[in-house]
Amino acid sequence: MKKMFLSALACVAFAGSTFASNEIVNENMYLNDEVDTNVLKENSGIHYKYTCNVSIYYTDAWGREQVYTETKYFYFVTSLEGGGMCHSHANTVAQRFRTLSPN
Amino acid sequence: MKYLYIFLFTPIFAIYGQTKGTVLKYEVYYNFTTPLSREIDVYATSDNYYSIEKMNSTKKVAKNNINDNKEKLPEIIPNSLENSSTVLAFDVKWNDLLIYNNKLTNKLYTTVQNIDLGRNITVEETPKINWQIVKETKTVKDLNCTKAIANFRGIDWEIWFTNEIPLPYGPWKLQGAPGLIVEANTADKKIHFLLNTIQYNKILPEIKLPNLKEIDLKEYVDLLDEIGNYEYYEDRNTKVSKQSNTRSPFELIYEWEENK
Repeated sequence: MKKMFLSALACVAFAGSTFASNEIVNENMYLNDEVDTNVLKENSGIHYKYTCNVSIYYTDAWGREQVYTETKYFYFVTSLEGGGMCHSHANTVAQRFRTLSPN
Repeated sequence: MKYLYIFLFTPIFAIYGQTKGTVLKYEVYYNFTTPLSREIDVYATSDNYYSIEKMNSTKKVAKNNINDNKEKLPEIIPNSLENSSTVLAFDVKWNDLLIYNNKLTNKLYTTVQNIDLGRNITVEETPKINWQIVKETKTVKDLNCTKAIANFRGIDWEIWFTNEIPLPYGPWKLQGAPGLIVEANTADKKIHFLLNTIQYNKILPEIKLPNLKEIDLKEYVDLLDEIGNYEYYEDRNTKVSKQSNTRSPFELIYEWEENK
């Protein structure tokens, strides 16, 4: 009886996760970065964080090597393919850097 | 005939309208990741001081392996699937650094440049540097010089000034010594200025600061610190975090921060 109950619960959970596929998180999901992604998974079962890090290396006017970092965190209900999003983010930052770069 | 008069007299008025003063030429050495040197032209009168650090005179002093590798980086390194990291390398072109000090108004104007904020001019009261004269002398460029030291905005400076040229000027914002500053360096030797030539009674070019937004120095520094490290939500599912080093190597702590 206990096994049947657990199986049924698992089915409901699976169905729920399918319906939730590709949904964005709800309003109270302004997630705290200090919470590890795995902890998020365990606690809520459905949340994923995707990190896109863009680092720009340049030399300043005094010969110092500088790193300008812009990181974008995307929060999803389920795992998504994030490569495209990150390329898009990187291109946006690069374009802005080109515009802002002194000429 | 009327046009002949205009033709004859205009150039004379133009020449008399020009200011004469002292032209100083310094060389600066920066010993950071990519060591480099650059020329600085200074036009000085008893009332003002105008300095141009010429970017097109930049020379790399030594070859740097790290930088050579960096230049070979592809613009976009492919992403990994789970968390993505993209590295870009840019060769930024910097504009000339200009400093204008008006002794009559006691104002100092400096052009500044930042990746996020673009180009601006900071305005401040002429800073007062408390030079302590040290009983050491040496000859630099045939001039008898005396040593002085001071901490200015978080940096320990050593200067060699000469009483033979009673101009209270020097390179960058270093001024207020009893005579012209002939040589200056930071205690860690990361920055070093040396006077190369001096020409008296020369016709000076017209002083013209670029047409940029003027901003109070303190306001600008606050803005720099704010943009150097901040986070914001682009939308409810996307957070952006930015980090960059924004302060120049010349000014690490300002007067208004020292008592905090």
